[in-house]
Amino acid sequence: MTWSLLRKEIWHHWLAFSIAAVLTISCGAVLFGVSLARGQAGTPFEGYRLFLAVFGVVLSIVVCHRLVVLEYQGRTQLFLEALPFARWRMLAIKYCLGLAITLALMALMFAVCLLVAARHDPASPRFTAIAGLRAVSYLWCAYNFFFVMGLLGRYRAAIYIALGFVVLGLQEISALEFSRFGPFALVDNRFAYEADDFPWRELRDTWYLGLACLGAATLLGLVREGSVAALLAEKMSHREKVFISALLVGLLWTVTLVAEKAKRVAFDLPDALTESSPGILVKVARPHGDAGLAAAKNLAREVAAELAQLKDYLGATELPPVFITSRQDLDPGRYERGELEHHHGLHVQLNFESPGWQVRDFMSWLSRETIVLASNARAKHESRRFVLDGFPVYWSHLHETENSSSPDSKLWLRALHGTKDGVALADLSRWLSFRERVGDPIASAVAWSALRSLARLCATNDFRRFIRATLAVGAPRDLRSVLGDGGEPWNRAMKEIAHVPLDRFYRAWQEDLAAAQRDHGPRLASIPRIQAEVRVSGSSSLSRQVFYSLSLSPVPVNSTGIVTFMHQTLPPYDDELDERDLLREKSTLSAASDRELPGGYSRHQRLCYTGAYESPELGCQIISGWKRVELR
Amino acid sequence: MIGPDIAGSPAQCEAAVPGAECAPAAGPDEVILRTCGLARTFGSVRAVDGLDLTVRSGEVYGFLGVNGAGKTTTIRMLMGIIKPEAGTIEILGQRSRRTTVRQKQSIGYVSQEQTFYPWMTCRSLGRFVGGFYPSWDNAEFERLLRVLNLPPDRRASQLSGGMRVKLALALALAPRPALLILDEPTSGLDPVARREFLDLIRMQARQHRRTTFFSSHIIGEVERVADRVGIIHQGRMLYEGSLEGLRASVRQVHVRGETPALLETGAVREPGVPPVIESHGRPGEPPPPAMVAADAPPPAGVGGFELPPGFDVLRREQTADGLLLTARAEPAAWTTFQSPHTEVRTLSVEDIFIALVASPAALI
Repeated sequence: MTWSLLRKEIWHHWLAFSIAAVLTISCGAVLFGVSLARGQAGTPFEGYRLFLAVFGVVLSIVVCHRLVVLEYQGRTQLFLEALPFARWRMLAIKYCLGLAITLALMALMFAVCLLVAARHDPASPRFTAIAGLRAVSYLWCAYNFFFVMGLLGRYRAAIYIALGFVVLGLQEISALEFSRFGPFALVDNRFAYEADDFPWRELRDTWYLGLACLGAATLLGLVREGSVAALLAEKMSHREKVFISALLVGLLWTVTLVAEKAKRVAFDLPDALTESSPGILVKVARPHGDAGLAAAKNLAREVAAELAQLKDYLGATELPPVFITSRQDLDPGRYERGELEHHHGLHVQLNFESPGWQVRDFMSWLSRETIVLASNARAKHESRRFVLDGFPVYWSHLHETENSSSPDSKLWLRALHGTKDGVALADLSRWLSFRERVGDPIASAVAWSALRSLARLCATNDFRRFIRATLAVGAPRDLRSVLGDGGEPWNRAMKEIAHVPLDRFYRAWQEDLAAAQRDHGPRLASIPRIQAEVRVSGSSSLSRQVFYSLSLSPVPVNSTGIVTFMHQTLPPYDDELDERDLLREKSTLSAASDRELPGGYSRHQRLCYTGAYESPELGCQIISGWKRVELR
Repeated sequence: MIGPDIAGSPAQCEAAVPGAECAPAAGPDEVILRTCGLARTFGSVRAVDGLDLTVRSGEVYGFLGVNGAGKTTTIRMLMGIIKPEAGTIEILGQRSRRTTVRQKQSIGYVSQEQTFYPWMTCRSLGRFVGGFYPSWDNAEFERLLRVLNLPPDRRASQLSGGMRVKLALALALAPRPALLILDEPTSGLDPVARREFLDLIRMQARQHRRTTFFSSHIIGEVERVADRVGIIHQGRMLYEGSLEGLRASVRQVHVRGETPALLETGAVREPGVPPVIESHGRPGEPPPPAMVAADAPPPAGVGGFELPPGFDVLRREQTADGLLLTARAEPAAWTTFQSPHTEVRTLSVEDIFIALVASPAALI
C-alpha cells in the first residue's frame, strides 16, 4: 500500500520534481561557479550557504505545494480516504517523500562542495559534521514550516504576507533580531567557517520550531478526521477574499504606522551639560577641570544654536538629539560616531579641548550626520547624494565673505583639484562613482561649488525649497516613503523646484570654476597627484601575493612624503565602501615601491585599493581613485 | 423502531465488545454487517443517534432516508472515514469501534461524489487502486471496463458523470468484495444511466450473491433492487425489515362522517408536518369497493374515534368527509381489524416512507 501511494506520487509529480531538481542544481552550479570564479569566497561552503538559504526554501515550497496543496485543493484526498489506507500513513508518506527529495538535492550539493573543497583545503570531519548538522536542521525546519503552510490551504498566501509584515514590523519597533534566531542563525556567516563548536542553542531552537511545525501539521492533517485541512483547502469566496485583503492592508497600515510612531528610547548622558530649544537637544558630557567645562558649555551652546538654525532652514519640526563626549586621544579633526543600537539620537566622541579644534568643521560633519539620521538615510540616495555631500559645507560657510585668506580658498582648491579632469552633469547623478574617484573631502568641495553656483542663480526661497526637497528631512517612516522614497532626484528638483534649467546651471557652475581657476591656478599647479599600482604574483596555483607602488607627481618639496595605501578585499556583492573596514599601509614615498601587502590572498579574490596623500595645501587627503581588481 | 425481523436487538448490542470476534453464522443468514448503537455528532447536530442495523449475506439492503437523515454519516463511519462517538461496527464477524484497514479491504465502496485523480486513465486508476487490495482481480477489472463500456485509456477528467459512477463501481467490484457499499450512487444520473446502474447492482446481487448496502432517498430505486430496507430519520432507525413487511405493517384508515369535533381532539397537525399524504385512496375519491363497510350508518361524530390497542397512529388528517389515520401495527392485527364506518387502505412504500419520516409520533 505504501509503495502504491509512493508510486502514485512519483508518477504524478516526476516532471515537476525533475524540473525543480534540474533548476536547483543548475542555479547551485552557477552560484558556486560565480562565487569561485570571482574569488568572493575562500571556501565553496560560502556559496553553499547562500544556496541552502535560498534554494532550500524554494525547493521546500515547490515540493510541499505539489504534494500537499494539490492533493487537498483537488479534493482527491477524499478518494484516498475511501481506500483501505490509514489517513496518517498518507500524510506520513507525503511528508517523508518530500523531505527525502529536498534533503537529497541539498545533500548532493553538499557533497559537491566537499569534493571541491578537498582539492585545496579538505574539510575536517568535525567541520563536515557541524556544517552538515546546520544544513539538515535548517532544511528540516523550513520543510516542516512549508508543509504545515500547505495544509493551511487557501489562507497560506495571506499568512505568508502577514508573517512578512509582522517580522518587518517587529524588527522595526523592537530589539528582536531574527537573523540571530534558530534556523536563520544556522545559515549565517559562520556556516562556512565554524569548524570547532556546534551551535547547540541555535540547533535546539531550530529543532523545537521544526517539531512545533510538525505537530501543527499532524494536528491539521488528522484532527476531526482530516476535515480541517479539507475545509481550509476549499477555494476562497469573493467575500472572504475582500475580507482577507482588507485585513492585510489594515495590518500593513498598522505595522507602518506603529513603526513610525514607535519612538525609540532616547539615548541619555547622565549629568551632562544640556542646551535645548524646541525640537533641539544637545548634551555634552561634563569634562574634568574648569577650562574643559567652559569649552563644553560653549560647544553645547554653539551646537544647539547652529542646529536650531539648520532645523528652521530645513523646515523640520525637530532634529535628532545630539550627545557629545570628550575623548582626549582623538585628533581634533576626527569625530567618532557611537553606535546607538535601539536608541534614538546621535552620539559623537571628539576632542574639543584640543588647541586645533575647529567648531565649523565639526558643524559641517554634524549637520551631514544629522540630516542622514533625520531623513532616515533617504538623503543618501545616489540620485541626490551630491546635495547631501555639498550642503553641510555650504551651510557651514554660508555667512562667510569671499576672501582668499578665508578657508573658502581651500574649498576652491579642493573643488578645482577634483574637477581637474573635468566634471559633467552626469557625475552629479553618478555621484558615488565620482566620490570614489576623487575622495570624500574633495567630492564635498565639488558639490559645495555646484550648490554655490545654483544658489547664485535662483531665488533664496527656491534654493531652500530645493534643499528641503532633495534632503527629505522628516520623510515619513511608513508606506508613503516605501512607495516613493521620500525625496526628489536633484535634476528634477532643480528644474521644477529651483526653476533653473540644467544647462544654465552647468554653464554658471563652469564659469565659477573657471573664475576660481584664475584665482587659484598657480597654487593648484603645485598640488601633486598620486598614482597607485598593484602587481599580483602567484606563490602557488591558488594563493597570490600583492605588491603595491605609489608615486606623486610633481613630487612635493615641503612635505613629509608620507603616503598611504588603502585597501580592502571585497565581499561577494558590491556596496558603498565603509571607511571603518579599510586597511591602511603607511610608508614614505621612497619606500612605497613594489611593497608587498601583508596578509594572504587567494586567486580570484577581489581587491579594492587607492593611494592617498595628505595634502597640506588642501587640508585633506588626495587619492588616486578607488580601483577594483580581481587577483588572477 | 418498528419491524418484524430486527436482527440486532438491544440486548445483543449491549453485549457487543469492540474487538471481540463474533461467531460466524453459517448459510444465507450470516451477518455481514451489523452496527450497534452507532452515534455521531457534528457540533450540536446529532447526525446519527444510536443506530442499529443488520445486513445479511447475499442481500441487497436499501438504506432509505431523506436528505440529512444521517445516511452518508453512517456510511462514512462504516468505511472508517470518520469515527463513531459511540457504538460498534461488526463487519464479517469482526467487531470494533472503528472499521479497520483489513475490514475495508473486504468492502467495495462507491461514494456519493467521485473524486478521482483527473490525470489518471481508467486503467491506471485500476492499477493504483489495485495496490491497496490483496484480492484485486485485474482481469475482472478489465472485464468490468468492457461490460460497463468504459474506455480504458480515457482520463478520469474526460469521463461523464455516469461513466464516473460506473468506473467507481468497477473499482469497487474488482477486488471481489464481500460487501458492497453504495452511497447514493445514482444521484445526478439521468434516468437511463440510473436504470443501467440499478440493473447492474441487481445482476451482481443475483448472480454473485454480492451483499450490497445501498443508500438512497429515491423510493423507486430501493423498491427495484432491495430485499430489505432500513429507514433512517434524524439519525435513528425507524424501520428495518422487508418491503413486504413494511407494506403489511403500515396502512391507512379512513373514518367517514361529520368531523367538526376533530379539531378539539388533538388531531391538529404538529408544525412542520406535511399537510397532505398522498395515498392510493385519495380524499374525496370513492374508496375501493372491497374495503368499504357498506351498510353501516355513519357515526354522529368521529372526533372520539380510537384504534384498538396495538395500533400506533402515525398521522391523523381531517378531510371533507371524515378522518384519515395512518397507523402501524403487526400485519396480523390488520387482518383482524374491523370497525364500522371505516375502510382500510394499503399504502405505497413512498406513502409509508413519507408518513414515517413526517410523523413526530414515529420518533417516539
